[in-house]
Amino acid sequence: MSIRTKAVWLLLVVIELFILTGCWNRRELNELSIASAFGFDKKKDQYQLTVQVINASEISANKSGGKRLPVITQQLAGGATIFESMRELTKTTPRKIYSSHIRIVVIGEKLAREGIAPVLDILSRDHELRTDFYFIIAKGTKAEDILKVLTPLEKIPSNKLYSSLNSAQNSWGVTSKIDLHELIFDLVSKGKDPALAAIKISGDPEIGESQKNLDSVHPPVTQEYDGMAVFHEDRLVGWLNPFESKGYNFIRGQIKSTIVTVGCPSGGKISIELLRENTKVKARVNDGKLNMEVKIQAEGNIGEVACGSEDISNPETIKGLELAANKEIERMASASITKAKQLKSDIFGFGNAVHRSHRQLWYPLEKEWDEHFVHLPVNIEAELSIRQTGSVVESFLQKMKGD
Amino acid sequence: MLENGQISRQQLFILVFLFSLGSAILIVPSAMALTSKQDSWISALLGVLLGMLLLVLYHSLGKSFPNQNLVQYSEIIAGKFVGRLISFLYLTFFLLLSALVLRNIGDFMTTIVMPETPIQAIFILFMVIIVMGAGLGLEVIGRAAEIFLPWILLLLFILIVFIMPQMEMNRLYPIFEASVKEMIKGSLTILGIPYLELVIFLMILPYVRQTNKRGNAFLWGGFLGGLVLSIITLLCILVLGWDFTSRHSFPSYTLAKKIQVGEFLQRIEVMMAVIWFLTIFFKLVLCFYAAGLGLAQLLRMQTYRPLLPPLALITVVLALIVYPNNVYFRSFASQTWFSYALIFGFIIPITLLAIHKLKKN
Repeated sequence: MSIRTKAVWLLLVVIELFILTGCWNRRELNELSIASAFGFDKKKDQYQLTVQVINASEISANKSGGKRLPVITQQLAGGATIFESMRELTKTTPRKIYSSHIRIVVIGEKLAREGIAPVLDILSRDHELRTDFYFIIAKGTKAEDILKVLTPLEKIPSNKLYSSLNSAQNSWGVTSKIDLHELIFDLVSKGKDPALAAIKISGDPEIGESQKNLDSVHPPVTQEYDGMAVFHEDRLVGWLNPFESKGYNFIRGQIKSTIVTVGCPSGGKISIELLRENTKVKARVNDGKLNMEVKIQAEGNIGEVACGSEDISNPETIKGLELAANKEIERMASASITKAKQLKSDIFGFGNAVHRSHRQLWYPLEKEWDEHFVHLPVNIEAELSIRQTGSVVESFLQKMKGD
Repeated sequence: MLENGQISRQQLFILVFLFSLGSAILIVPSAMALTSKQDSWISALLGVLLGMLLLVLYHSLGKSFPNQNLVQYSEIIAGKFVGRLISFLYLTFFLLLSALVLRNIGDFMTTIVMPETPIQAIFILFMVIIVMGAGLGLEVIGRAAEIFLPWILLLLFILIVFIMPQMEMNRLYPIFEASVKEMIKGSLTILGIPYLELVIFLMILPYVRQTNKRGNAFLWGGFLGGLVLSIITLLCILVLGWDFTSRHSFPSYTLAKKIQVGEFLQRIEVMMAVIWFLTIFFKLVLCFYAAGLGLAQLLRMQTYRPLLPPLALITVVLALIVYPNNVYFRSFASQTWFSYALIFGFIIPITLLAIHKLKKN
């Protein structure tokens, strides 16, 4: 290589150094306000956006003294569109909101009753948002109030909402995690209506938003999941109570684990912990009439025996318990179906099941599916198998009674 | 000879495979889902079968002139004037395709990864590499493909395996809901992108070392490329549902976003984007190389290399003005592109082949 070519190469390398740093759009952490939750409400004609912004310096582990709040909730009853209000927030926040880390979107009851579809478009269009956050509905209150409550066990309240939604679904089965993708899917498909987890505030919201809520051993204000919100198309039409919500989750096959409680013949109760659950929903045609078949299969262990007279060590007793538990599951499931039929909302996706297996039958029904759903016979069959009895077999209660 | 380098059959196979994936992997699932809904994967397989017929056509045309490329033998077949006109038209096709592919990667970067970066910056950076690659010649491109293939396969494997937990079989049903007409209309998408574009390999086939069995490598490359496209389409439907797939600009990227294995393996979509970068690189470099080589042959030049920088400038500008926005592109890709590509990918090649066979007899 001659000196000249070497010089040219060197020059090229130096120029590359400038081009290839690749930081055109870089945003440093100190230039961002990381949002952890959005809340949407409607005030008159305007959308009101509430954003929970993480106060990064308070979250860090080695903070030194100072009692500033871990999060700040900002809201603005701003523009006619949500995008407008989001940008308008920069008037009050020091930095631009960065929304990739959203965990939860709360929607106020009033907005939910008027229709949630308008707020969803921006959430799916903005490239910054991922689709892995969950939707919850503020029952009897505004989204704003839910997001204002400070939580003692989690520094970031939206993390509390997120993880308690997770654990309530995974170990109790009364809520449902629905992300943006699933929600839009439900809204678009004609044979299924959405159902979202509902949350309420217990206590006075005014106290909840101050430091007082963090100072007490027994926090006066908490957010609490309470059943589910039933939608028809994109409008809220009613609520499922926890019992019905469990039934809903049984039919949807979304139970990871839950407790089924059955009574002993002699009084007292036995709790069975479900560990596995699997549901098959099938549309069947008998004599030209459409009916649904729901088969719930579950496996569980005996978790608590609170009656002395039952002899758990007897296989016959176990069989009897299984039958009683089946009845109980069927009761929950049919309670949720009855409620959904009252509300004319096919939250179970029965319509989609018909579409999948009997599409010729589906096309004429498609348009007035709500009417057909109300009169749709549903056959529920639960089959629970008890596998273990925990670390003991017979309960010591039996011995005590015997003496 | 303008191009003295030669590639092996294996390299041809890899180049065809990567070429069929490039940009198609981003565009095809969405366009297909729009017409044939949850049956898109059937459409895709149908398109692959039809596409194989096209590849057989290209192969038999290439076989008739084992040591010459399209620009050279179109003059022999159709006479000096018409032949050169045809060659010229092909060069515009290659150049337009280069611009479209460049725009694809630019659009992808500016919508998903870096929305505030001017698209020109991405074009220019990408084009610099392309000029460099095309300038180094076919041999280097072939060897680069060999080096990158394992990585692309590895990433595809990761994508397919880790997305499996998110699949929902219900999304496929009812099968065969789309009518035959919709099914065929959907298959035209995959026929247009990439199969009709594979006509570019008529410029490259003569440089394959072993002329006798190169047909196999060509057909297998195209077939496996189409198969991967069908699998990605199927995954999009299983994971996202047809509705979501059709509404998203880049569903395969959204697919990668869905990967979530436990709490630790997630948000790896930008890593997956490496698949598109690499495959689009090979598609673009081959298009651009074919345009440069063909132009040099048409102008009877000794080397094609001086043509590359001006062609690159044209490509960058063309990519900027080739369509105004992505809505326009979606309707262009699904409605216009097929008939346009049909002229170059089917009508001209089959006419050339027919004339050649008639002349011989």
